[in-house]
Amino acid sequence: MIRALRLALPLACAAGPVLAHGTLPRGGGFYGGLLHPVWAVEHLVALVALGLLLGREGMRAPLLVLAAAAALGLAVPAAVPLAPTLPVIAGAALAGAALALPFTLPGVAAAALAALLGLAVGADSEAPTPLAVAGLGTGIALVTLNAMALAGPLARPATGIALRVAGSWIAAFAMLLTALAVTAGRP
Amino acid sequence: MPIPSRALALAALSGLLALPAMAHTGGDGGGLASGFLHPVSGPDHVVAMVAVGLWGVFLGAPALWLLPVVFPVAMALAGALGVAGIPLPGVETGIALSGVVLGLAVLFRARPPLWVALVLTGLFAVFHGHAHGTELPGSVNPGAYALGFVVATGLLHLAGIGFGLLARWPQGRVAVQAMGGLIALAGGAFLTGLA
Repeated sequence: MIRALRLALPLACAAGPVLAHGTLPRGGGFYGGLLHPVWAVEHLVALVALGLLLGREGMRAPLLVLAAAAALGLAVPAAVPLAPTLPVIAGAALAGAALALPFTLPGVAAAALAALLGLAVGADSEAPTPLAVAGLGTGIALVTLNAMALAGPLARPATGIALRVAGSWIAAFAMLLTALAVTAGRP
Repeated sequence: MPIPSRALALAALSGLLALPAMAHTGGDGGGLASGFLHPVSGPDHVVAMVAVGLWGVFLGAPALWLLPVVFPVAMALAGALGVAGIPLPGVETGIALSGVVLGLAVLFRARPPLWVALVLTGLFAVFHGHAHGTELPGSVNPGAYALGFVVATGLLHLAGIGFGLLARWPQGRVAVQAMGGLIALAGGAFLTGLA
């Protein structure tokens, strides 16, 4: 039963937090930064997918890559040549697909994915004050680490199915977001 | 038939846990709630999704988890066509037909080769996805709508797998097969315009 709950949590986590709860604090405060990765649904899904993936593979080093890349993306948005939302969505699709497929991801690929997502999430975020930067970093870390912690215990054949299914949901969602972004002409 | 029962129980439970989260949004006219409700409120979608889960149980591993993995992806690809406004003929017919075929597969406990089951399920996913995708761009919050319908579809699969767990007992197997028959009948009614 404990295992059942462990399995349920990442799914509930992937499904739940996107819900609109009305106006959230935006702008330069700590909470504005903290909530950005949750408020922007593509950021949330991308970071959850990366966290689940790293948790399943038991990889920790890519977290440092994610943090460094997010800081770089935030400081130098021009480091991401495209409009940054599309790379976030692409990262979510890749991480979701990697979760869904029955292959073990090489460490280099995981690090590259973390770098892509970090850069894109950083460049697509706004944190005009040091407090907001602290909040944003905390938010990115919370989302990713929670997903990682939930995925770790599931990384075994029977329960790993849930992670694969969650990965396919995330990949499907990201594909639809891509179609929306492209057709709306606002990638 | 070896069923990873623990995994199935976990999956069913996770569906239960994930559902109540939707109660938080009101009628937002095109966001997460309406996306979630689109597959759930259309009986033609509901019966086909549940049938995917039921059939997966009879097919056993690896189809059990491959079907719910392949379906959302194929659905999203077709959904992208719908978003782009690329027409697909016979969408409603395809959706109704999916209920008939998948329902019959459950009724007769069909065990085709894995690739046949995957291709068939993926093909039907295309029709369902296109129907959802066509409604996406008009939504107030298309991203949330997309998430809602992907999650709702997945949870319907899980509901089917959960009900399919009954097939571990002889009487339960009859109940599951009967459910397949009912689904096929419902699909037939949609197909012929009776419902």
